Amino acid sequence: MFKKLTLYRGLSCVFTVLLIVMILAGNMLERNSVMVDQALGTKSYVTITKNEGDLFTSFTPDEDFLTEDGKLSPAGYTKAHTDLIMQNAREGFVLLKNTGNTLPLKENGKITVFGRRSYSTVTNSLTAAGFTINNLVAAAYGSGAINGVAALPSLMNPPVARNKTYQKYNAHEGPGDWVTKRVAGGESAALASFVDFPDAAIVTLGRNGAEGPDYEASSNGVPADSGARNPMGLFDSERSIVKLACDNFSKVIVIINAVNMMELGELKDNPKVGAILWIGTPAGGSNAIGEIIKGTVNPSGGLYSTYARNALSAPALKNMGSFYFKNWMDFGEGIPNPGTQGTAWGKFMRGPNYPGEANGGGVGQYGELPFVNVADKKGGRVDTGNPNTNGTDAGLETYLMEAENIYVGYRYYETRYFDCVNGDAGAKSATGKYDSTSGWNYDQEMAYGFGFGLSYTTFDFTMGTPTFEKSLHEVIAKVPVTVKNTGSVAGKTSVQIYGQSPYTAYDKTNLVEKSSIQLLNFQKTKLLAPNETENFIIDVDLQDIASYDYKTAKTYIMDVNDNYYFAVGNGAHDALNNILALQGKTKAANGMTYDGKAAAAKKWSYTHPTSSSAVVDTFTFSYAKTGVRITNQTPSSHYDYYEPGVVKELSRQDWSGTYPKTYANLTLTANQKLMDHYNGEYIDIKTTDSADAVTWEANNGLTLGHMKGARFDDNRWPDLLDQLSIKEAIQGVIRGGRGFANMPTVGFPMGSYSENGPGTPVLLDSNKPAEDQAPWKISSNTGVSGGTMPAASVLASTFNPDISKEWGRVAGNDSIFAEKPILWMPGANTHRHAFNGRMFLYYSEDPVLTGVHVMETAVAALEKGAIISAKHLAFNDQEQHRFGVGAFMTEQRAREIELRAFQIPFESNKYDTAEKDVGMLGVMMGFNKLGGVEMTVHEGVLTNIMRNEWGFNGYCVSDLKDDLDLMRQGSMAGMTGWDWRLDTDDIIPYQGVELWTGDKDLMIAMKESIKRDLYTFANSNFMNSVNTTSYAVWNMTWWRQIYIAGIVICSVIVLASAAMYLVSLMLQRQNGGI
Amino acid sequence: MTFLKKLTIGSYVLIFAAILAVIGFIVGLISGSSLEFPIGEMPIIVALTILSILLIGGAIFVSVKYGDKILVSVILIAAVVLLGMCFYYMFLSKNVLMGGIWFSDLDKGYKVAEDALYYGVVSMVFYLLAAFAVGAGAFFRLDKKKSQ
Repeated sequence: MFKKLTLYRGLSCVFTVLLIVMILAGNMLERNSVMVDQALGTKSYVTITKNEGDLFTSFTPDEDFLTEDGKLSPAGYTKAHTDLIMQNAREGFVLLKNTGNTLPLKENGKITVFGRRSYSTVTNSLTAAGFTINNLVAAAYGSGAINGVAALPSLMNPPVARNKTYQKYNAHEGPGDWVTKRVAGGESAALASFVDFPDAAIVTLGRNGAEGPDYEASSNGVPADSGARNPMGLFDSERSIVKLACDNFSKVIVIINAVNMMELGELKDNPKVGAILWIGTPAGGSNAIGEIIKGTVNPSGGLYSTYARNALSAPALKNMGSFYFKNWMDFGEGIPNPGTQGTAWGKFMRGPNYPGEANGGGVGQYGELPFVNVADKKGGRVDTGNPNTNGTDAGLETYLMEAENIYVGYRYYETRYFDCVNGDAGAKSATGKYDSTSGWNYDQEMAYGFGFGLSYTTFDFTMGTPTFEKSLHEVIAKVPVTVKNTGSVAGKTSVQIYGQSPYTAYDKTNLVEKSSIQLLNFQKTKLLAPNETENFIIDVDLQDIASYDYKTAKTYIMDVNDNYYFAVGNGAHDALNNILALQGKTKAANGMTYDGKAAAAKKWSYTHPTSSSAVVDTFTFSYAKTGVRITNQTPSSHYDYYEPGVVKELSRQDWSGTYPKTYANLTLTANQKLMDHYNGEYIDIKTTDSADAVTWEANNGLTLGHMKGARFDDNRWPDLLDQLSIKEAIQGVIRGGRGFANMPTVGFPMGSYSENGPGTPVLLDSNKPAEDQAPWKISSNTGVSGGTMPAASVLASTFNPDISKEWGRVAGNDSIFAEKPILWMPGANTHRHAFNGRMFLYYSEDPVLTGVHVMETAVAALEKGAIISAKHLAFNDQEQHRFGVGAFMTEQRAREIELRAFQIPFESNKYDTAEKDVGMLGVMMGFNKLGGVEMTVHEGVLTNIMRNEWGFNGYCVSDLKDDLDLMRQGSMAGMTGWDWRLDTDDIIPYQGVELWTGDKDLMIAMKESIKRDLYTFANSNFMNSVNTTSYAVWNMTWWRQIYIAGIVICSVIVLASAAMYLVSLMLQRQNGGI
Repeated sequence: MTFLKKLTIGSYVLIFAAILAVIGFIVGLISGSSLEFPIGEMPIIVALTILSILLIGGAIFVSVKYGDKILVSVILIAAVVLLGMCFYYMFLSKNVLMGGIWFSDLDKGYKVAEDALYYGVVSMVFYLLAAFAVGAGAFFRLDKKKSQ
């Protein structure tokens, strides 16, 4: 009998454990049901539609993606992607050098290929193009030791470590003798093989990129014996294989496989290197390498950013990396400080802090611990995104003084060059020189300038007289350009329109900076046959050449005079030389790099009838296209706002005296405002109101289905939003990333509606209920291939807006098939220098080149109901400390460089009509701050600029788990949602109703945020599967069946075992047992 | 010595369970020892672990001293529940890191974070094994005298 007692006791115990596990599993699965659905292909809520008549009619795939019977065509899908990727690569690769007709190579040539990066991307491409590869050398690049010589270590990513200490970058390239010793048969066999494969040597050199880390911008960033002066410089090992190639081959071609701008000066100067071809990161477009080398494709790309001879020569690099406020301990936290750390036991015993605790500002999971001893700190903000992550710590107390001002990339080199030619303002001084032998010298500092690229043919550009279309607050210049193919083979070229604004006395007095040359728009020719010409009339929005006067006029200004110039050319330097030629400057008399062509430039006058000044027009461009007055919105972006006079920005009126210095170890205590900002105190959230201060749970009979295609000013929106409950509204606001909240009162079903792009997977989603199946769905994705786009800089280098438009079309079709209406792509930040580890994601150093490409993609995708959401707005200028670094700059810098790259797609003026205001409808914010203010809480940018000036009415999401402690302030500032993946303990505290109902303005802002999200969805392909009869219902998924069954079974067994135990016990006692 | 002689197989299994719980606790401490990723629930886990070990000890003591009575069964159930809760809280304490490492790239590859998570996972496993071991021990009589 007693055996039964222990049996029942044991069963009770074991199944109690299992019951706990099942309850935990159920809890976790339900809390994260959206992510579980995404991972497992289930739907924990399903949308039921009573009347299916108008489903899948809002946006349909293009015909080339479909079979004749309307199903997804794997062949069509794959072809559309492949064609796009290949066109991108063919037009995006840039031929930088081609002396002595090195390229193209003769057909079916026999080639020897060096460099680890050649294998196998380059070699496969060459083979596909019909070349024969020296396999003896190729074998040397195989794995494992050969002839006793070890293989190369793995390729390194950019090497900043998470603990703020840079590792040293090593190119890990095999030098020449490494190659020859690993050839079967040794060095003599290697040399013999060179004779057998004599037509050319191709050497591939490059640098990697990665999210999170940067390269260290100094000689400390490379091993002392590397021979490189910084990570962008050539290593001796790389020089060695170039030398091996040069010593043994008559034709040497170097391929640059990097987006980070390497130092190419010595390759440019090396007469034995016949050609240099930049390919960026080609991904699925690598076959274009072979096509260009063979000559079946004529290269037509222009450089996306500047390749200086010395990568350190960019003035931005005086302030790049890790800068902590000296007294960060006084006002914030986020950095482990073992020296003041409490005892281990104390650390374990202290729990998390949650909102509402008096802790000097927003607090997060980690509260006051573990980073500093409570007694040592006075303020206290910790970002809830894990502070020490992804190559950096939180960076909450770090800063970046962007003292280079507007002089980023070519704006610095070309403006200084222009002033050198004109003998102005210390431009020729030694300050800021790196490779110049005496004073600063353009040729000695520059390898290949912005926009430059060669072709196998030549082109001649001439510019006609521009005309101007003027309205009250807009002036569009119509710039005529004629391009003629003056060479002997067919080719395409970019038509880059540049402008020059005069640098006036007013500018000098009011610290308005002017770049001597700036890109204003661009186009691409068709394939021009020899002697064929093509005429263009290219629009230039003069807002892009207007200057932002942040000190005096506090708006955009134009000089009222006749000293403006337009020019066309092969890159910024060529265009500037053309302007200089028109200004009467020559190489002989003025020290130009070469004589320009005056016919490729035009001088023009600016006047406007509304200008009340004969000197500076402060009116015309002081109003946005929306009619809102443009004035300073980011005063705290400038360090002067907190501490005047500490930071001095670069000004062309004194190159030597204002060249940036490094601003390290600044002290913050001088300014309470800055301390408050760094503590997360931006917008006061009241606690005195209650939920009934605004209308909730009204019964107005509307659903999102009624709002299909509705305009933003549709008068039904308020009624729809009044139907929300406060709990729905909270969830609607705080969930906006991968998972959107269920809002049944407005007919919005929970789900995962966003995806990173490019490379959106085709989600066939065959698990969906039959009534929810799109007519184009197929049951298997066999044969469906999307491929991978080259890096954004390759797309930028095409200078072809039509390719970006095609990308938008293709991505839009992807979005329809995948049923992911929101695409988090592309990266629209601008390149600040060569050392950012993530610059492969971003197009260019130029905002117009970036902005136009993004606009074309966004508008074309919108045609298919896909919401392009460019990231990371804005000033994500380095990866190190990106989770909170404060980027300080003048508002002129902010607006004319980084923000303009976003402004162009948001406004999309090119596509606006009287009936419809077109523009990008999504954006993802950066982790970082602008000045002392987190981007997610920056009301000046989010509301006053994005919404009011640019007319942005769409979806605005945080980056992953960023600033969750500031969600309420962010909602007030203009955010519409927050991205976090799992409903973990750091999220739960912020979901409490009481946190959101104490402030009427906050609740109104929440409704506004949800309106913008719903407006975005209402105008997207999300509406394909929703109509006025749609509603969401709870669904019994298989994982729910398992955990619920588990809980029931375990509970029954536990209870039954306990009961049987007691019964057995009683029986035993009755029988005289124990 | 006399006491030890009175121990049964079930008693030894329970002692083994207590050892597993101690290991789980120590590994849990290690998992929360990084400066960046402490365990907020540690006070609860500490209390639950100590209590569950005391209960296991109590069950052995009571059964040896007074026989394997219903009180012993109640104590064992309580110990199982407490160890299960240790597992539960350790899981909760690591769910942020699971999100950062398994379901996103936020902390992927960051050794400090991965150590904090994986030590936590090991701790969870030991707590779970400890709970099951108590369950296994419960299948045996814990008083030698009465079982003879």
